[in-house]
Amino acid sequence: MSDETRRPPQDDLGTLLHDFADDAEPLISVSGGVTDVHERVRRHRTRRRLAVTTAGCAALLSLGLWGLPPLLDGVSADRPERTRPGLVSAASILPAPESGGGLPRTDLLSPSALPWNAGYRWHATATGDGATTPLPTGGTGDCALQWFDGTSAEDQIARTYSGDSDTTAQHRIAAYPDNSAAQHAVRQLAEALHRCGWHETRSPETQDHNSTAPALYEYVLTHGAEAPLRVALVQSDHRVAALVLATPQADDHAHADPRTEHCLEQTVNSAQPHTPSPPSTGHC
Amino acid sequence: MTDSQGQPPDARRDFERFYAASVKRLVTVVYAVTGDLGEAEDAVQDAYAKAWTRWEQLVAEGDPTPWVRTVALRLAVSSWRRTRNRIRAHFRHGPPPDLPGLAPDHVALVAALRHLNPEQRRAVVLHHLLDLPVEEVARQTGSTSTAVRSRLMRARRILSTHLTDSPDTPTARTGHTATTAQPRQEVLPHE
Repeated sequence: MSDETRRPPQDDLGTLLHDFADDAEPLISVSGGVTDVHERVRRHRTRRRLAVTTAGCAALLSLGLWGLPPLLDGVSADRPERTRPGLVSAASILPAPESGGGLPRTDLLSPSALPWNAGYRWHATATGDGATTPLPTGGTGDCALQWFDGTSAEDQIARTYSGDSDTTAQHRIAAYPDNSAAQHAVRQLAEALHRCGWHETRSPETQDHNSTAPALYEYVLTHGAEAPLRVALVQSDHRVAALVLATPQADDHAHADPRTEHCLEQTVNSAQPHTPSPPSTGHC
Repeated sequence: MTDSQGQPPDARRDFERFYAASVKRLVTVVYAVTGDLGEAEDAVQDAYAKAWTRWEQLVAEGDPTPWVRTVALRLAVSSWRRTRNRIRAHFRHGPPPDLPGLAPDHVALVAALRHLNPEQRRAVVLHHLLDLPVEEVARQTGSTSTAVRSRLMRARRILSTHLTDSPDTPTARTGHTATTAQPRQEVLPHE
């Protein structure tokens, strides 16, 4: 057995240390004694409880902070168009699709359903496939908007309007092969508007590619050729709708007249037979 | 019936008897390692506090003394404590006060031990004061036997330097025995 594995005989250093310990031990006086030991136990337990409570609160707070944005998103997603008054509602310019498919002309807005009808007294000038009534191509610089030309749109219908004070408008609906193609088209169009100097005043909440909720965009052109102009774009299922207005009031639509609001509401509610109509403020 | 800390009164009496019988020796051992009486007391008191929270289990396993001693020594050399005590020493402006009434030879020994690093001091105390074999020292300190032997050898050389006047004090004849020839008669009074 090696020397390293059995107790060594007391060497000089060992002797010195043992003598030291025998000398020192009687001189030791521990302040506080065993009472201090019990007090330390109590303090350690209190600190541990506090640490657990603090950790628990921190965890709850973290969960709350992580959970809050989705909750807020959820709240705002319930009313995606209501952070400020919109030009029109998504449902008014793109009603639910016909069960038989196709683009019925009844989906196009009646003149009285257009914004500010009380002031401009809109009337329809043409209804058709939109081939002979192009949408305005206004923008800043050399920009020329293509709208639905050159896209994979399979069918289009359009109605043009004119009103007092040389105001004009057009409502157009385009049908695409599927939801994905429609989503792509509306995003391309939104980007083109942005590139042409139109200012975005409303955009849809972040949507995934599988979402079927209507996507509503609103843009306004305040400078450049054909300004002022305003457009509302809606994409839902395989269709995209655009309502373009050329009126002197393009930069402020927040103060729609009560008659227009009422008529718009009537238009929407007429599609839902059990919804009571608002009190009438005049003929639409 | 239990006391405020959830222990039966008999257990408390046993613990307090154990404490009274062992605390002074334990503080002495830890004082030899730390060279600081206040540090030693603090580490020992904390070790007893930990022992009390698991008293029943310790008693069931046998003599609690080795467990308390191991914990006290680990606490004494923990890096956090060393940092805290360095700060205290800075404000104290000097070496820690000696144990009043300690013989000059032993005061010199404590001072010489302070020249060792914490691991060397612990190895010296466990092997030479507590008479633990190298293998047991290695186990208790979480080291290898080789590392412990190396620490002991270096520690003996350093102590030899500080505990003797002569620079020609012969080194150990074998790898594991003390190096000093007559350390007691060579030690100068500390003051």
